[in-house]
Amino acid sequence: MVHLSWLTLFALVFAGAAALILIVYLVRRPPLVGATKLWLLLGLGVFPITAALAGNIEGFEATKQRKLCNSCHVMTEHVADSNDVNSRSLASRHSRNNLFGLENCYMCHRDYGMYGTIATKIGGLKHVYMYYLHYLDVPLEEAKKTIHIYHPYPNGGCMQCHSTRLDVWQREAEHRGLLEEVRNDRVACASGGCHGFAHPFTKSKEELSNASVIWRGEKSRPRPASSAVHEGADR
Amino acid sequence: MRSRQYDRWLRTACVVALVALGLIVWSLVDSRAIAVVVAMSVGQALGTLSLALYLVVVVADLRRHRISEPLAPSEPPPAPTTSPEQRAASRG
Repeated sequence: MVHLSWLTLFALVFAGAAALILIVYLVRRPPLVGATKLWLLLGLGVFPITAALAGNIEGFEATKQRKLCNSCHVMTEHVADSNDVNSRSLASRHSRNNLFGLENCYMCHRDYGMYGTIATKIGGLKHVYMYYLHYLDVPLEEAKKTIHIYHPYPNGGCMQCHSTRLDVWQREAEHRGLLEEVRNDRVACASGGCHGFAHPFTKSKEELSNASVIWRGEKSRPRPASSAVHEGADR
Repeated sequence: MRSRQYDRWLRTACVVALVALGLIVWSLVDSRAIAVVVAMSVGQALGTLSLALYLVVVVADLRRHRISEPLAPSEPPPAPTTSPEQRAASRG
């Protein structure tokens, strides 16, 4: 059964009222007197705008949901992993956290900052464009190997929650030793040698067997910050 | 613009608005990305177009009525304000 929120019902009622006015006008074709203009103002202006505003809010909320990501077949394995209560992947473990819940894809892959929401939505539009023009017929196995995020996943996403400043975090010797590298994004939290890959099923056997820390630019050995480049991180 | 044209434009606006409303309703009941994206782009563009058509017709109709209204008759010139004595004096 489809669950409709009160905002969806609100939008549906206004859309229905507008449609009723418009259909009556089309069928009866009354003369353009003051009352007709007023009814058409409701049917073409007030009611559709109200329905669109409510629909926009619902739309923005819908774009955060995991099931929206699942509507593209290339993401079904990612979503299945998130839904799997026995999975040990980073993505799945976070989906079992109430803070992430059914919005876990969005919570990790959103852009943070002042214009984060807008940037995320623009990126999402690009995903839809890419999917319908390039990936609609691509088999899942091939898509898993060819689809990558645009940039390596930044530690800033992890640090929205795991600030790296609390005692409980700094108690770990590895954290203390890599504190500056983590904060400056020179070493990836989501790597085989640290906390594991967020989506390990997208990795090759070689990548999974090489359970070392991923240094941005060169594996297994830190580089000076000035020469650090983003590559080799989690997809 | 004539009343037949008004009617055609308004009917077009109604049909376009019905399509836009259909797209909005589609996005509300279908959670796929394509439905949300189409409703929030094409749907809203069509809705704006229909409202613009309506406003053009209403403004044109109001202007037409203003032009075709008969002009109010001009008022008679004001009566002379001179008193009878002044008029007698002026007659000599």
